[in-house]
Amino acid sequence: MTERPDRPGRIDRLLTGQQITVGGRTIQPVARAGGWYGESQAEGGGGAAAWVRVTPVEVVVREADGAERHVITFDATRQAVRGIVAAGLTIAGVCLAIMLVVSLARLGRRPQ
Amino acid sequence: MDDTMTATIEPIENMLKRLNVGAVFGEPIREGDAMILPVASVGYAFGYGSGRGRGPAAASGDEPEAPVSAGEGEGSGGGGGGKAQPKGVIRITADGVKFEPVMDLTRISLAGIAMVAWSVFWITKTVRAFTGTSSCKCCG
Repeated sequence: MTERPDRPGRIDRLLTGQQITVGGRTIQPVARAGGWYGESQAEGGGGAAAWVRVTPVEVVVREADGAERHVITFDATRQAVRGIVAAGLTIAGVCLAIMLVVSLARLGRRPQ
Repeated sequence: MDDTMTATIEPIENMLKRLNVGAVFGEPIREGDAMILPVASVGYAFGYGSGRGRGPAAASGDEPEAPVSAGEGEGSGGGGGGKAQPKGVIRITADGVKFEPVMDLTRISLAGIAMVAWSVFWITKTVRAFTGTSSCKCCG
Protein backbone atom coordinates (compact mmCIF):
# COMPACT_ATOMS: atom_id res chain seq x y z
CA MET A 1 0.00 0.00 0.00
CA THR A 2 1.30 3.45 -0.83
CA GLU A 3 1.46 5.96 1.98
CA ARG A 4 -1.37 8.49 1.89
CA PRO A 5 -0.68 11.99 3.03
CA ASP A 6 -2.48 13.42 6.04
CA ARG A 7 -5.73 15.13 5.16
CA PRO A 8 -6.45 17.68 7.81
CA GLY A 9 -9.63 19.57 7.25
CA ARG A 10 -11.19 22.54 8.92
CA ILE A 11 -14.84 22.45 9.87
CA ASP A 12 -16.62 25.77 9.60
CA ARG A 13 -20.26 25.52 8.70
CA LEU A 14 -23.30 27.61 9.39
CA LEU A 15 -26.22 25.34 10.23
CA THR A 16 -29.77 26.52 9.70
CA GLY A 17 -32.59 24.65 11.36
CA GLN A 18 -36.19 24.09 10.44
CA GLN A 19 -38.61 26.92 10.98
CA ILE A 20 -40.86 26.75 14.02
CA THR A 21 -44.16 28.61 13.82
CA VAL A 22 -45.60 29.86 17.11
CA GLY A 23 -48.67 32.08 17.02
CA GLY A 24 -48.08 33.47 13.55
CA ARG A 25 -44.43 34.11 14.32
CA THR A 26 -41.76 32.02 12.60
CA ILE A 27 -38.52 31.19 14.38
CA GLN A 28 -35.49 29.71 12.67
CA PRO A 29 -32.47 28.66 14.77
CA VAL A 30 -28.96 29.16 13.41
CA ALA A 31 -25.82 27.49 14.78
CA ARG A 32 -22.17 27.26 13.81
CA ALA A 33 -20.13 24.09 13.64
CA GLY A 34 -16.38 24.47 13.92
CA GLY A 35 -13.39 22.24 14.48
CA TRP A 36 -10.86 20.06 12.78
CA TYR A 37 -10.66 16.56 11.42
CA GLY A 38 -7.95 14.54 9.79
CA GLU A 39 -6.56 11.18 9.00
CA SER A 40 -3.17 9.62 8.54
CA GLN A 41 -2.48 6.44 6.65
CA ALA A 42 0.85 4.70 6.54
CA GLU A 43 2.28 1.28 5.83
CA GLY A 44 0.67 -1.08 8.29
CA GLY A 45 -2.02 1.14 9.76
CA GLY A 46 -3.71 4.43 10.09
CA GLY A 47 -5.92 6.60 12.16
CA ALA A 48 -8.41 9.40 12.06
CA ALA A 49 -9.53 11.99 14.58
CA ALA A 50 -11.95 14.87 14.82
CA TRP A 51 -12.75 17.75 17.12
CA VAL A 52 -16.13 19.37 16.66
CA ARG A 53 -17.79 22.24 18.48
CA VAL A 54 -21.34 23.33 17.77
CA THR A 55 -22.42 26.69 19.18
CA PRO A 56 -25.73 28.49 18.86
CA VAL A 57 -25.53 31.76 16.92
CA GLU A 58 -28.98 33.29 16.76
CA VAL A 59 -32.62 32.74 16.03
CA VAL A 60 -34.16 34.55 13.11
CA VAL A 61 -37.63 35.78 14.04
CA ARG A 62 -40.09 36.62 11.29
CA GLU A 63 -43.16 38.39 12.58
CA ALA A 64 -46.61 37.95 11.07
CA ASP A 65 -46.32 41.40 9.45
CA GLY A 66 -43.16 40.32 7.62
CA ALA A 67 -40.68 42.12 9.89
CA GLU A 68 -37.49 40.15 10.53
CA ARG A 69 -35.13 40.44 13.46
CA HIS A 70 -32.24 38.45 14.86
CA VAL A 71 -32.07 37.36 18.50
CA ILE A 72 -28.41 36.65 19.31
CA THR A 73 -27.80 33.69 21.61
CA PHE A 74 -24.72 35.14 23.29
CA ASP A 75 -22.59 33.30 25.84
CA ALA A 76 -23.13 35.30 29.03
CA THR A 77 -20.56 33.35 31.06
CA ARG A 78 -17.86 33.85 28.44
CA GLN A 79 -18.62 37.56 28.23
CA ALA A 80 -18.41 37.89 32.02
CA VAL A 81 -15.10 36.00 32.19
CA ARG A 82 -13.70 38.09 29.31
CA GLY A 83 -14.68 41.23 31.20
CA ILE A 84 -12.93 40.01 34.34
CA VAL A 85 -9.79 39.09 32.36
CA ALA A 86 -9.81 42.48 30.63
CA ALA A 87 -10.11 44.22 34.01
CA GLY A 88 -7.19 42.18 35.36
CA LEU A 89 -5.01 43.02 32.36
CA THR A 90 -5.92 46.71 32.68
CA ILE A 91 -4.94 46.72 36.37
CA ALA A 92 -1.62 45.03 35.55
CA GLY A 93 -0.98 47.52 32.74
CA VAL A 94 -1.73 50.54 34.93
CA CYS A 95 0.46 49.17 37.74
CA LEU A 96 3.33 48.53 35.32
CA ALA A 97 3.00 52.05 33.93
CA ILE A 98 3.07 53.54 37.45
CA MET A 99 6.13 51.47 38.36
CA LEU A 100 7.86 52.57 35.14
CA VAL A 101 7.13 56.24 35.83
CA VAL A 102 8.36 55.89 39.44
CA SER A 103 11.56 54.17 38.27
CA LEU A 104 12.23 56.87 35.65
CA ALA A 105 11.57 59.62 38.20
CA ARG A 106 14.03 58.03 40.62
CA LEU A 107 16.67 57.69 37.90
CA GLY A 108 16.24 61.36 37.06
CA ARG A 109 16.73 62.42 40.69
CA ARG A 110 19.83 60.28 41.20
CA PRO A 111 22.91 62.53 41.84
CA GLN A 112 25.65 62.40 39.18
CA MET B 1 -3.93 -11.17 2.27
CA ASP B 2 -3.96 -7.38 2.62
CA ASP B 3 -0.91 -6.26 4.62
CA THR B 4 -2.46 -3.08 5.90
CA MET B 5 -5.40 -2.04 8.03
CA THR B 6 -6.88 1.31 7.28
CA ALA B 7 -8.92 3.67 9.41
CA THR B 8 -10.83 5.74 6.91
CA ILE B 9 -12.14 9.21 7.43
CA GLU B 10 -15.54 8.34 5.97
CA PRO B 11 -17.32 7.97 9.34
CA ILE B 12 -16.21 11.50 10.26
CA GLU B 13 -17.36 12.92 6.94
CA ASN B 14 -20.69 11.15 7.30
CA MET B 15 -21.05 12.55 10.81
CA LEU B 16 -20.29 16.06 9.56
CA LYS B 17 -22.98 15.72 6.88
CA ARG B 18 -25.51 14.87 9.58
CA LEU B 19 -24.65 17.80 11.84
CA ASN B 20 -27.64 20.02 12.43
CA VAL B 21 -28.91 22.67 14.81
CA GLY B 22 -30.67 19.96 16.82
CA ALA B 23 -27.33 19.45 18.59
CA VAL B 24 -27.65 22.83 20.31
CA PHE B 25 -31.30 23.86 20.04
CA GLY B 26 -33.72 21.64 21.93
CA GLU B 27 -37.31 20.81 21.18
CA PRO B 28 -39.80 23.58 22.04
CA ILE B 29 -41.42 23.18 25.48
CA ARG B 30 -44.68 24.87 26.39
CA GLU B 31 -44.62 26.66 29.76
CA GLY B 32 -47.93 28.37 30.40
CA ASP B 33 -48.46 30.98 27.73
CA ALA B 34 -44.82 30.87 26.69
CA MET B 35 -42.86 28.51 24.51
CA ILE B 36 -39.33 27.69 25.68
CA LEU B 37 -36.52 26.65 23.38
CA PRO B 38 -33.48 25.31 25.32
CA VAL B 39 -30.09 26.37 23.98
CA ALA B 40 -26.73 24.70 24.69
CA SER B 41 -23.29 24.42 23.19
CA VAL B 42 -21.75 21.07 22.43
CA GLY B 43 -18.15 20.04 21.88
CA TYR B 44 -16.62 16.64 21.37
CA ALA B 45 -13.46 15.01 20.14
CA PHE B 46 -12.64 11.48 19.19
CA GLY B 47 -10.09 9.42 17.38
CA TYR B 48 -9.54 5.89 16.23
CA GLY B 49 -6.81 3.91 14.60
CA SER B 50 -5.64 0.50 13.69
CA GLY B 51 -2.43 -1.18 12.72
CA ARG B 52 -0.87 -4.45 11.77
CA GLY B 53 2.73 -5.54 11.95
CA ARG B 54 4.98 -8.50 11.28
CA GLY B 55 8.12 -9.69 12.98
CA PRO B 56 11.38 -10.34 11.14
CA ALA B 57 11.26 -12.46 8.06
CA ALA B 58 12.07 -16.14 8.32
CA ALA B 59 15.81 -16.83 8.57
CA SER B 60 17.87 -18.27 5.82
CA GLY B 61 20.01 -21.36 6.30
CA ASP B 62 23.16 -19.24 6.70
CA GLU B 63 22.02 -17.85 10.08
CA PRO B 64 20.99 -20.72 12.33
CA GLU B 65 20.41 -18.49 15.40
CA ALA B 66 17.92 -16.25 13.66
CA PRO B 67 14.17 -16.85 14.24
CA VAL B 68 12.69 -19.46 11.99
CA SER B 69 9.12 -18.09 12.03
CA ALA B 70 7.76 -14.58 11.77
CA GLY B 71 5.33 -13.13 14.33
CA GLU B 72 2.30 -11.13 13.33
CA GLY B 73 -0.06 -8.93 15.25
CA GLU B 74 -2.74 -6.39 14.78
CA GLY B 75 -4.72 -4.01 16.90
CA SER B 76 -7.14 -1.19 16.84
CA GLY B 77 -8.59 1.28 19.27
CA GLY B 78 -10.46 4.46 19.69
CA GLY B 79 -11.52 6.98 22.23
CA GLY B 80 -13.44 10.17 22.62
CA GLY B 81 -15.00 12.65 24.93
CA GLY B 82 -17.38 15.52 24.87
CA LYS B 83 -19.28 18.06 26.86
CA ALA B 84 -22.48 20.00 26.61
CA GLN B 85 -23.07 23.28 28.39
CA PRO B 86 -26.40 25.03 28.80
CA LYS B 87 -26.36 28.55 27.38
CA GLY B 88 -29.87 29.67 28.11
CA VAL B 89 -33.40 29.54 26.80
CA ILE B 90 -35.29 31.37 24.12
CA ARG B 91 -38.62 32.46 25.52
CA ILE B 92 -41.32 32.99 22.94
CA THR B 93 -44.35 34.87 24.22
CA ALA B 94 -47.07 37.01 22.69
CA ASP B 95 -44.92 40.06 23.56
CA GLY B 96 -41.91 38.86 21.62
CA VAL B 97 -38.93 36.56 21.49
CA LYS B 98 -36.02 37.01 23.85
CA PHE B 99 -32.95 35.06 24.86
CA GLU B 100 -32.44 34.46 28.58
CA PRO B 101 -28.82 33.40 29.19
CA VAL B 102 -27.71 30.96 31.85
CA MET B 103 -24.69 32.10 33.86
CA ASP B 104 -22.11 29.61 35.10
CA LEU B 105 -21.66 31.16 38.53
CA THR B 106 -18.90 28.74 39.54
CA ARG B 107 -16.71 29.75 36.60
CA ILE B 108 -17.43 33.44 37.09
CA SER B 109 -16.69 33.19 40.83
CA LEU B 110 -13.39 31.40 40.17
CA ALA B 111 -12.43 34.03 37.59
CA GLY B 112 -13.38 36.75 40.08
CA ILE B 113 -11.28 35.22 42.87
CA ALA B 114 -8.31 34.86 40.51
CA MET B 115 -8.81 38.48 39.41
CA VAL B 116 -8.82 39.73 43.03
CA ALA B 117 -5.61 37.80 43.80
CA TRP B 118 -4.03 39.12 40.60
CA SER B 119 -5.04 42.69 41.44
CA VAL B 120 -3.74 42.43 45.02
CA PHE B 121 -0.41 41.17 43.67
CA TRP B 122 -0.01 44.06 41.19
CA ILE B 123 -1.26 46.78 43.53
CA THR B 124 1.04 45.57 46.33
CA LYS B 125 3.96 45.47 43.90
CA THR B 126 3.17 49.02 42.76
CA VAL B 127 2.81 50.38 46.29
CA ARG B 128 6.16 48.83 47.23
CA ALA B 129 7.78 50.33 44.14
CA PHE B 130 6.25 53.70 45.03
CA THR B 131 7.38 53.64 48.66
CA GLY B 132 10.74 52.10 47.79
CA THR B 133 10.34 49.12 50.10
CA SER B 134 10.60 45.51 49.16
CA SER B 135 10.30 42.35 51.16
CA CYS B 136 11.93 40.42 48.37
CA LYS B 137 15.52 39.54 49.32
CA CYS B 138 16.67 39.29 45.73
CA CYS B 139 15.38 42.81 44.92
CA GLY B 140 16.92 44.42 47.96
